[in-house]
Amino acid sequence: MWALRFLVAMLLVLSTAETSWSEVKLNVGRSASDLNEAGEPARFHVTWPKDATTTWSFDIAATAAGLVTDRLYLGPTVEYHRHTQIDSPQDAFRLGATSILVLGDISRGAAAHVQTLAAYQRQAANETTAHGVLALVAATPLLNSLAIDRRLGPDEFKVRWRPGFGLEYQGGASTGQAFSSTLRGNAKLHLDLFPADTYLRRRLQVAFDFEGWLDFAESQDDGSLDRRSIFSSSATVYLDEGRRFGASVEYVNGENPRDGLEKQAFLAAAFVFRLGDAIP
Amino acid sequence: MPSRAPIKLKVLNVIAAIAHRSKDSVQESQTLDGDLGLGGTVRAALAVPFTRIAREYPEGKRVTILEARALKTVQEAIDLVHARANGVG
Repeated sequence: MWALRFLVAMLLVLSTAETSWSEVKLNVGRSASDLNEAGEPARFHVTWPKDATTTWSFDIAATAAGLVTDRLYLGPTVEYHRHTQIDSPQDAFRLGATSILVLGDISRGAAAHVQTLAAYQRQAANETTAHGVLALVAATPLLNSLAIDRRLGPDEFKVRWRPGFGLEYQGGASTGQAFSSTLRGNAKLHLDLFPADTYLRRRLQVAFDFEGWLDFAESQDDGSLDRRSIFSSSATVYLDEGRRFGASVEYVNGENPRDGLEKQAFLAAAFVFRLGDAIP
Repeated sequence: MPSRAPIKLKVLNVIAAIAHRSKDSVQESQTLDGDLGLGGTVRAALAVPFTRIAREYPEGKRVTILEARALKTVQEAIDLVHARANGVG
């Protein structure tokens, strides 16, 4: 139940922060540790069956800018992913600091958007809870010639793409278990489609994400290099032109070791919302 | 005190190059995301060239990546860089 209390508390903070969030530069989105999801809205889904247990899920992250310059963003972050209705429930909480560094000069042809994150992490799965750390560095190249993170195409159908790659270190221990750690590399690709872009004023967004991981080193080496991947696709309809509130349908297939999502496939419908301009 | 006109010219040059448009086709009323297609990470990265332009002037101050990402229109971008070039903000 502490997870539900956390969500209620966060929603209360957001509702009371409406008049002041612009001063403290509070940003709320889906993830602070995944650049591809940093700009996506937080989502919340709950089901109250008549004769069964209530199930719910949410993915939410908040950051508050501390130090911000023309090249650097540094601030605390809190993030929570919880799904109770899927085959293998997901429960991952993270508290730490994130930085964004802009390298190069995009007006001169190339730049890179580099994120680092260091966080305490709590992950629960299969009735065990592990406490540990997550450290990552992730980069998105912004090459003018490849038009990365730009909407391309005619008004009837625009496309936007954004690749990324990085390194992740994750270490932790469950009660009574030895500390274990993993160093893994990952690569990701985000693709947005905007059908009838001008006519719908960007209210409909179809997104595809693919992310893959390869373990480079494990403290409890089982002799194999584990590979994991996740594919997700979603269709979101925003209710307002500011794209702050909407509803989405999402299909997920795969596993996400960073967020504690075990291998499975599911389809979910959700309410989505965001505050601020997302994590830069 | 730099006037708005030379700042506008420099800002339009930067935006046109990044949006793969000719300078003459970029209008102040256009939105950076909707009309010119610049995503969030690209808008954040605009802080670097915008700061460079502002600091060409003695009173120039930086444009932060949060400010750049939050920009909605070309006009807002010109006004922001013009203000920073004059030491405002």
